[in-house]
Amino acid sequence: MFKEYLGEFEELVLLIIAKHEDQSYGLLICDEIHEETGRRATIGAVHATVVRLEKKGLIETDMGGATNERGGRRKRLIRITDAGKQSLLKSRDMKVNLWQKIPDLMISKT
Amino acid sequence: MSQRPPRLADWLLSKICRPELLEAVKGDLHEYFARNNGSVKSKLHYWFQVLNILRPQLIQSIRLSERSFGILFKYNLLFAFRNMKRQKFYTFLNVLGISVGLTCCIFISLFVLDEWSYDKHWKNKEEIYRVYVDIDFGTTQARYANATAPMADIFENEYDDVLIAARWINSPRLTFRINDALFEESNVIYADQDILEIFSMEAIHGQIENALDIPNSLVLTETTSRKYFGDQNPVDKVLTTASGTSFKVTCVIKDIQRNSHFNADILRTTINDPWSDPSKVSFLSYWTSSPYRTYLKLRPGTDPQVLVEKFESIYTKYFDPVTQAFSGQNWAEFKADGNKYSYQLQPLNEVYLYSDFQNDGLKQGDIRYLYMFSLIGLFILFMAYANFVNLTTARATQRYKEIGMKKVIGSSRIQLIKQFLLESILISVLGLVIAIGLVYLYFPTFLEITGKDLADPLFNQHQIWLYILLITIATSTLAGYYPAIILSGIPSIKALKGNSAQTSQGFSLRNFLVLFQYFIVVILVIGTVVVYLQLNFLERQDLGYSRENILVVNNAWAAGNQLDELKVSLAAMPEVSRISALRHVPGDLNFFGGMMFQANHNTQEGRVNCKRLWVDSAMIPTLDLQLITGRNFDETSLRDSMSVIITKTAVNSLGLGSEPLGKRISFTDGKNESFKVIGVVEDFHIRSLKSPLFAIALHHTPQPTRLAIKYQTSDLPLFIDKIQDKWDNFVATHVMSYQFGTDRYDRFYRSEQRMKSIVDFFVLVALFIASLGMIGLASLVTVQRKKELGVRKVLGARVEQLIWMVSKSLTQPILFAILVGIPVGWIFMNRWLEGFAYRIEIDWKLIVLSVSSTIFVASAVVISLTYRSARANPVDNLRHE
Repeated sequence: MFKEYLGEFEELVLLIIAKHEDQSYGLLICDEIHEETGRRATIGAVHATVVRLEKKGLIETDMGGATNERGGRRKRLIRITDAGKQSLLKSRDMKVNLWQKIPDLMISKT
Repeated sequence: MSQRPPRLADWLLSKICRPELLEAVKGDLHEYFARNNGSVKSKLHYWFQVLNILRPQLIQSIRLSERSFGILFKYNLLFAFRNMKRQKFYTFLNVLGISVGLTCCIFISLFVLDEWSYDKHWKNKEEIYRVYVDIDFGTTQARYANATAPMADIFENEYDDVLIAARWINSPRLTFRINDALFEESNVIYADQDILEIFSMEAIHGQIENALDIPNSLVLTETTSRKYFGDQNPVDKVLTTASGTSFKVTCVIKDIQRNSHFNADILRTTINDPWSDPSKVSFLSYWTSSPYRTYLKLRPGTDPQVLVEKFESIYTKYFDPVTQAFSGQNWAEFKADGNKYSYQLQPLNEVYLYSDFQNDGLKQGDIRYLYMFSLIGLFILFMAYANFVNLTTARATQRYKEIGMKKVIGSSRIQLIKQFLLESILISVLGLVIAIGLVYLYFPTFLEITGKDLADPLFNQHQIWLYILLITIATSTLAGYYPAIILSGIPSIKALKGNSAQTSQGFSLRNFLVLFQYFIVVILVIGTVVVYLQLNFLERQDLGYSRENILVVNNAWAAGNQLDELKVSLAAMPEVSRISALRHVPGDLNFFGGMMFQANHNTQEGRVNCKRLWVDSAMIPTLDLQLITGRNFDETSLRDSMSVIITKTAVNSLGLGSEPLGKRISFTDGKNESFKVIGVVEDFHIRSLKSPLFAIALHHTPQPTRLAIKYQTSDLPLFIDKIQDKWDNFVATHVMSYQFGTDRYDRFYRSEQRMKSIVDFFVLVALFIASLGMIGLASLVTVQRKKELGVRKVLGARVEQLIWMVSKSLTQPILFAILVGIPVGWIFMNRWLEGFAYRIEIDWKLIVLSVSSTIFVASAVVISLTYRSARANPVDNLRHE
């Protein structure tokens, strides 16, 4: 049960990973986060989250794709696993479920 | 290759990041960096990103690295802590000494770096020079940091190497009226348009071009503009003074940086400046006494010395009519008489720290103080670390067993050295932490004493924290090295035997360090005593006029033709005993100068350098001048407009003999008037006692501008309020500006006062640190010689003999220090006293006083510590074996 719990930032990262199929890597995720939410995440923060997600089995990583500006270093390419997809769906369903239980008056009026 | 990310950050990254993640993380970081331009800001960003790697998921766990360095480091750290804990007292002494030393060091660096930063921010600063004039004729021998009004244009037109020449001069205050409220601006200058260009001022609103080329135009700084107009654009708006003059704002510039030798809130055009208009001032004044700050911007690569030599051509071209009017000679004859009047150039970056001009009146630093303070800072830090070295080596015997054991087990010498170095760095870091706390605690006091305006002591434009970190690490390594070598070098057998019999004899490093510490203390003590006595002397010195209970109202001219009524109504107040309306008051910064001579004796020898004051008949009684012979001015008739009262010095140097009254004297002001001497007064000092006594001429003025009031009151604020009320009855256009006679005098010694408070402080710190060292050494020696003391006591030695025996070895270096310190301190302070025309002599009483206080403190420390061991029951000392 504990393993399946997804943090807010983790979920964000996982969604972005899912969006890019198997082409996402650290810096790309940073950029996407900034683009989508306006938040600035440091490279360290993203990598730390990636390590955590991998430990939970929600993603898989591979090395590949060196470019010049990286000084010839490979990227750590990330791909979402089935467990990851499940976890995203579950998180969404849970929220939709909760949303539906909110009385209309509470939110639409404000 | 500025495109490379900082290497240090990368190295750090490779040390902290998990190896399996390193490639991907580093790749991301480099890609991130490659997007930016490689500026300092992006490098800082890079550092930020790297430091953000410090997360539990990403860094190597310490357990993972099985290298011996890590383990050893861990244990060394542990040993160091245990050792510090075991020796609480010595740790305390060391940390305290180092933290006080570092605190001083931080404050001194802050002060020195800030002074050093003056005028370093101007664009093209290498090409800008300030003009000064070197004068030597008659008895005037002076250098003034200014040039006369026409010179700037002449320089610019005559020499191709001079790209721009520009001038500014202080303006009287401007009082603006805005909706019936008055705002006084005192920091106003008249400036040429070219001042804006030479100093590359940046416009915020409006245009720099032609900003000061229109009559009644004003350029405001950002802060001033905000004061009057908020965030609006004030260009083309009008500011009206209380007297009705309207000024148009043409431009708003960025504030002139705090660390600049000149500063202004408002710049107004020189077109309205009376001094720059030859039709408004006399010919001679225009050419000889209009004091403009003048700057030249030279073509890059011009040698200023070569240019200065070419100036001769303009003197011959322009100065003939001037010297004719002045002394009836043409320039060539004037020069042939051995007179000198030559313009020189001073590089802009020397203006603040290297200027010693007469009447400069600008903010000034003094390079000598910078060197002195840096030296004191170094000495104090040195003293703190000398304590550390002494205490650590002296304590070596107590750690023999630990060292021996480690060596037997197989520790190498390098490992031991590393251990001791680590201990020394640890103590330093602890000291540094406390020092930083102290710095923040005393930062407001520091600002108050130095008059600086800084936001934060460590993180400001000067990057103090970086220096301090480097200094701490460097000095602690240096200081730790010697004890480390000594301690690690002990043969293991000897160490294990615990042989503590070796006490250093003769001239050891320990004695040398103590000697040096007290050498510094002695010099500082002599310094403080001399400074104190000299300032005290100046304070008590009779100036020839009274400055107690005198109030000077500076802008009384604002009352216009009601000045007389204002004066009468003030004189009617019970607190006011006398009142004088005048133009010049002793204690002013500037006076009209010139040469005077007996009428018809206008020769080189006959001229005397003098100062001229325009006053009324009440001035002599109000300021308590002593009329020796003759009479005061007579207010009832107009006949005194051509009379003069002179001082005794003037009588003597003019050679008027014993019958000066009735003789006539003239002045070299080009007016060809002669004045009848009607009285002689006792000499008085119009400026500070740093200047020699001037010959002074008092003239009668029909148009006074200021008031000098002698008062007697027990409630000063109430008195000022009452005067203010009267003022408001007569003057609506100006805020009353006043000064007290004593304050006016004290401002001449502000830099000396400042030096006094700083040196006072350092002497305490130095004495404190030296005493800490003494405490440590004395307590160590008594512990080490415990048994010896016990045996001696059993054999019949008396307490005072024992104290004497122990103290002797400790105080010997102090006596040497005093022997060396006295002559050095003497020479040093004599040099300082040479800056005063009136000074005390350093005599033996003073030396005895300062030295005995040093000895007293040192011996009090030693004796109080040895007394206890000497008194102890010898049985206790001998028993535990």
